[in-house]
Amino acid sequence: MTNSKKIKVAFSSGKGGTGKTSVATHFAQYLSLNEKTALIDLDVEEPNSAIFFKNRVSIKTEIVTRDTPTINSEKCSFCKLCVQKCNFNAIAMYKESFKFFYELCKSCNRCKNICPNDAIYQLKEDIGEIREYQSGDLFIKDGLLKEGSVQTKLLIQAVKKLSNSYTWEIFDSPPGTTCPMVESISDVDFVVLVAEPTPFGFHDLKLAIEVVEKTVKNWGIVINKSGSYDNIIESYVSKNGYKVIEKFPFSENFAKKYAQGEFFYSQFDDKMERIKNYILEVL
Amino acid sequence: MIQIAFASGKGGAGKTSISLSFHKYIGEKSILIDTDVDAADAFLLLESQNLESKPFVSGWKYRILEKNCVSCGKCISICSFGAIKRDKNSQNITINPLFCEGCGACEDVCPFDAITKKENYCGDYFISSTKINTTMVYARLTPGEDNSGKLVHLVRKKGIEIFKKLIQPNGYIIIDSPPGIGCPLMAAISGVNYLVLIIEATESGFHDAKRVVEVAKQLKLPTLSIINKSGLSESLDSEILLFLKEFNIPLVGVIPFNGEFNNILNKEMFWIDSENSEIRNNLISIFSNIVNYIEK
Ligand code: SF4
Ligand code: SF4
Repeated sequence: MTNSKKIKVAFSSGKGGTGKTSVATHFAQYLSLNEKTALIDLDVEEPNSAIFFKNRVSIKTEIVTRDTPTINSEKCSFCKLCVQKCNFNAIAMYKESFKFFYELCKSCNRCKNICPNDAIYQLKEDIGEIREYQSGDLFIKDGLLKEGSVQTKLLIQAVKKLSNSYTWEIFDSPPGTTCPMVESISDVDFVVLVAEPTPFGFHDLKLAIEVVEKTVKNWGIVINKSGSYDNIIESYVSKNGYKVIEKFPFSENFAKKYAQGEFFYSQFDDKMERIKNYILEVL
Repeated sequence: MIQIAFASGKGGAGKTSISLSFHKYIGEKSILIDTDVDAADAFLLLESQNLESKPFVSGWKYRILEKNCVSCGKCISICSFGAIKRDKNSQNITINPLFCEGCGACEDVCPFDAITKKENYCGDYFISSTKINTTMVYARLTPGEDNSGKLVHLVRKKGIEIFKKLIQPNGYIIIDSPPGIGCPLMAAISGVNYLVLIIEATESGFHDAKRVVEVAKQLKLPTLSIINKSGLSESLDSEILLFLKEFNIPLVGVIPFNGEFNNILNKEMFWIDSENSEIRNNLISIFSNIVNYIEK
């Protein structure tokens, strides 16, 4: 693989709090020392990656909107066709008044397309913002979902669109295994699953594996906060022919640094190098 | 009936462990609803026997009926989600179920009746008896699905039904919330009588908890708070206290950072059953603070 080719890597986990963000930020920071790297935080409900880059400089902040329909009552004949056609029950009409339930509306445009009187037009609704930063040589981008908005998926899609190209694009996925997580790993080259060795972490790792197996070709596991429960994960992993690429130890000192939003894995450059080499080898 | 939800914004802040211990503390006067339908974990420690499990069906998935389709491609551009694609070689039109939101816009424009729909199976919900002689409700959304908010509503509804059958009116419905602040979280906490905010005393945890407070304010929820993993950063700890004061959020307890918590979990024990009396007594006093607060 040559350096001119773009490599997209997502760091994911079924469970939150496994250290996904810690590993992703450190990995991106490490890569950026020698190669053109972008770190993209797709956990738009709770973006935490940028916090770790104390010397970050904000380059750009942009409001993200979506189209939501409304009705021009002058043109509307109150035929209720839109109400019948909306599969999400987002429109209510009573005599000559109407109401849209925007939290149910998916902006599919079906109502607008079907209206015989051309009475439906679009408004803009704020769903959050996109923020871009530079920290040393590293480009960082994240999204911040507006409190009260349910448009997680749309904002993730907006954050994913990059205007420049990078040798490495590192994605920090949202937790879970449902739509936002799948959205974040669709079309990446490699997924690193960060697992926490506890009964909860193990269970959620299995769910996450189920998803990555269906979605991407290449993936591997990193165990974080390694400890007494490792062997249960490791025997499961080897039984199924999966791969633990690397392990990071648990330490109270790391927890302290993490609490203060500081880097604490810099001493693990060799581990980062091994993760990088493993990914390159597989691809 | 008191509905009390534990939420933190950030994952790994101790939500599930604390909800479970609170459930054990209240005991038979309560049921537990795990609304983290992405990654339900509470059952791992709590479930003894599954009593009922049913599929959860919500919305539609659309599909091309090959025998009618003439590959005219009218549907491709109408789809707002880019779910419809034409194969370069065969010219066949297909709908990618992962991207289809089930809106039906394509159906309206197809001149040949070549688009059909099927109800969308997107998960299962479970009602189970527990090791501590209570009942729990949880659910699992199919990976990649997008209806978590609706499934959360469903498990809460089931929970209330069971509660009304089993438990005297002054009992508790304990809700373990999903992480984040989006649709599933709002579905899990809206309308509860009390929200207990678990603030992980780390910069990320604090940041995330503040966003939950914003949502709780919009939903007008009475909010209490617990600080977890305290002692890692003194300055942060005092910042959190200031924040709680400013926003008038009562603090019912502080749980110091302790590596032992994961060991308790690894023995598949509840935190409140820890052999360490300091941990145990602290939790008991936090929980009695919550109860006093609610029942005063
Ligand atoms: S855009 Fe789609 S979801 Fe929104 S109101 Fe119109 S038909 Fe319903
Ligand atoms: S139902 Fe809507 S989302 Fe699904 S393929 Fe048709 S137009 Fe696209």
